[in-house]
Parts: sequence; C-alpha cells; structure tokens
Amino acid sequence: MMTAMTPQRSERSDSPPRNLRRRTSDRVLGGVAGGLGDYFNVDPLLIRIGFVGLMIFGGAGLVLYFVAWMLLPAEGHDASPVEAFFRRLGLTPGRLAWLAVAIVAFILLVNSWNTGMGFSINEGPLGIPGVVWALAIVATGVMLVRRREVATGPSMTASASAAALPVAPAVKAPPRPHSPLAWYAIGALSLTVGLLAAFSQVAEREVTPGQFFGAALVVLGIGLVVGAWWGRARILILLAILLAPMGVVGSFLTAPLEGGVGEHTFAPVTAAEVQDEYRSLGGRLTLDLTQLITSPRDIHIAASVAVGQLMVILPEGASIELHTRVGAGDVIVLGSQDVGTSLDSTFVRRHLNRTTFILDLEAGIGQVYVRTEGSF
Amino acid sequence: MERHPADVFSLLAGLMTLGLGLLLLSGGLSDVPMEWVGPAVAIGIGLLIVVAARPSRTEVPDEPMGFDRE
Repeated sequence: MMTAMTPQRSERSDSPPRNLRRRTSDRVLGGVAGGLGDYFNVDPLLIRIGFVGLMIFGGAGLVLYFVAWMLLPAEGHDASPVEAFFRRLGLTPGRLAWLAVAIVAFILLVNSWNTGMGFSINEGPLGIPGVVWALAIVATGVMLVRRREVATGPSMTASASAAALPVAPAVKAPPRPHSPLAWYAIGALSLTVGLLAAFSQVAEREVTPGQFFGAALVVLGIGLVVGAWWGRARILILLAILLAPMGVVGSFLTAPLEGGVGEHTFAPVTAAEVQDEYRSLGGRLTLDLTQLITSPRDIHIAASVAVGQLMVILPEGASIELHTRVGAGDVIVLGSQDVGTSLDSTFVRRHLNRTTFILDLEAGIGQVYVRTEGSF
Repeated sequence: MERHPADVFSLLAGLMTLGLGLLLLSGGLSDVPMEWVGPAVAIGIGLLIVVAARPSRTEVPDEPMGFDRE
C-alpha cells in the first residue's frame, strides 16, 4: 500500500547548486536555522537548540541569529538585507572600503591619545607619531571629498527609453540619482578631526576625546541639516547613532588614558618603592599603603583609572590630603559617598608628627574609593 | 545636488546631532543634569519616530508613466 509522503524541508536534495539561503516557508522565526539545516544537511531542530542554548548562556545566540538573518539572503533572492540596504544607499564595495578606512583611521587616531595632554608626538599606534596619523586622516578626507560620483547613465537611458514606449505595463520610477552629500560630510568629518588633532599638536592645546567626537557629530549634524533640502544623506544618521554614545562616554574620560588594563595592586613598603604616578586604563587599581614605613617627608602620589575603580587603603589614623576627581561615577572617601558627574573634592586631615599622604586621585568613569585599614 | 522638498526627518536628526556635537565640543556635557538626559533622549527618539511614521505627502500619479505622453 502506498502512502502519500509529505515532503520534508530538511530532506531537500533536489536543488543541485546548494546555496546558503534563509527559508521563506516552513520556518519558526526568520528561517535561519532552517536554511542552515538545508545547507549542511542536518535537522534544523539541532541548530535551533544550538541557538537557544547560546541564547541562554550569555545571550550570544540572539546576536548570532540576528547577524545571520541580516547576512543571509532569503530563498529566491540574491542579496541579503544588509547588501540590499547598502545597494539602496548606493554604497558599492569600493565606497564601503573607503568608509572602513576612514573609521579605522579615526579610531586609531583617538587611540593614540596617551598623554592626557593631547596626542603624543613621539608615540602613536604602530610606533608612528600621532601627527602622521592626523595627516593620514586629512588625506583620507581629501580623497573622499574629491571622489567623483559614478554616473548613472546606463540605467537612466534604459528608463528613458522605456518611458518613450507607447505601452509600458509596469514602468518603475527612474532611480533617484545618488547624492554625494554623505560622502562630502564623511570627508569633511575626517578633515575636521584630522585638523583638530593637528591643531592640538601644534598649539599644544588639550583636546579631549569627547571633543573629537563632538566635532565629528557637528559635521554630521550640518550634513543632515543640509540634506534636509539639498541632496540626501540619511546614512549619516547611522554614523551619528554610532558616534553619539562614544562621544558621551568619551566626554567623561577626563583621566589620563595611560597604563594597562586589568587588576593591579601595589603595596609599597618603603618610601623608595613609592612611585610618583600609578595609572590604569581600565579595570581596578589598588594602592595599599598600610605597610608603608613612614618617613619624615610627605609622600606625594598621583593615581588614576580611566574606566574602573581606584582603591586606596591608608594606615589607620594617617595624616592625609586628598584631591579626588571623577568624570562620572562616585567617590567614597572614608565612608562619605558622593555620586554624579564632574565630581571634584578635597579632603584634608592632618595629625602632628605624622607623614602626610598627599594624594591626587582621578577616575574618568568609575569610582575612587579611599578607606583605612580594617574598614570597608 | 538638487533641491528637494524639505525632509523633516533629516532636519530633526541633524539638529539633534548638531546640538549634541556642540555640547560635547564645548565640554558642557558634564554640566547637564543627568536626570534630564533620559527624558530628553526619549522625547528626541519619539519625535523622530512620529516624523518617520508620517504618511508621505508626495503625489502618486493616477496613471502609470508612459500612458499620457501623446
């Protein structure tokens, strides 16, 4: 007796060229697991279990699924949603490469900040001076601005001839000519940031990371306002969304961007072991001064954490002169807490005939925590 | 670049971006009361959504192009 067999999607084998595509039918969510199952010839249920497992343990499954959905074309389509989006914006692979170059150069330039007083002339990414990076950014910007728009001749001609036919059953509107405004704005952004970096070098003026991002956002904003009437540059909104949170965070990074990342503890015993400065880029920096053998002279220490916690443990009854600064976060000094932004405070407690610890403590985003031995 | 009808979405997004940029450039972000940041962001995003969701005012021709070219 013959029974009707319902075709199973997971057993597809009739399509000779096996392309990785999202399923558009017989799917649970976006068809990613089904498409992967078809491609690798495994039961999609196993892939779904994998996604769910990754979702539970750390949430990576959700991100991976979304990324896969964005990158995989649907059945019957050649382009993924990301490709279709970029095509709609007129972003060819070459232009995307330029954009990537500009973004990487911008990030490298911001990362070359390592003195707290501007870009270092002697040091920079890959050992190349910061000013060279600044010039590279300017050059990139110039090239982007000078980039000529690709003519849309053939497609326009085709549209025009189609419109001239007496009968045109489904005539699509001619594609809107691509506006160079976004590229002008991105070029101007690179130019502005590069010139600002060069200015900070030449004039030896401090320009904070937040101000760099601010300058970039001003250029993008001007580009968008211009694009409200001339040309079109909505792609700049995406860049603005990307840069805005970075700028907000960067504006609070008032501490020097120096030192390593991670958990570091220093417990000097003699005055000779005490360094003038302790710096950390991110993480926790603990300065334990409880075992320090007191000396007749005062001890000056400057310590900072760009992002994270700076903890100082003092001997009981120590004579102290504290100056604390926090861009955003909180300060706890001997049980007294202050929370907010741009926190700046001084604390003085002197005892006669005791070594005075004169501490300059700073955290960009995070916490400065000062306590005595045995207290928390 | 050709002039086109006003794009309110771009204008609004541009003004918001410009404002934030100027705030960051002037170093004045730390003076902004943090309790107003949440409401300001929510209002800005809300305005953008409302503007983006507005029906387009562009006229759609009654007949397909190519029929009335005589």
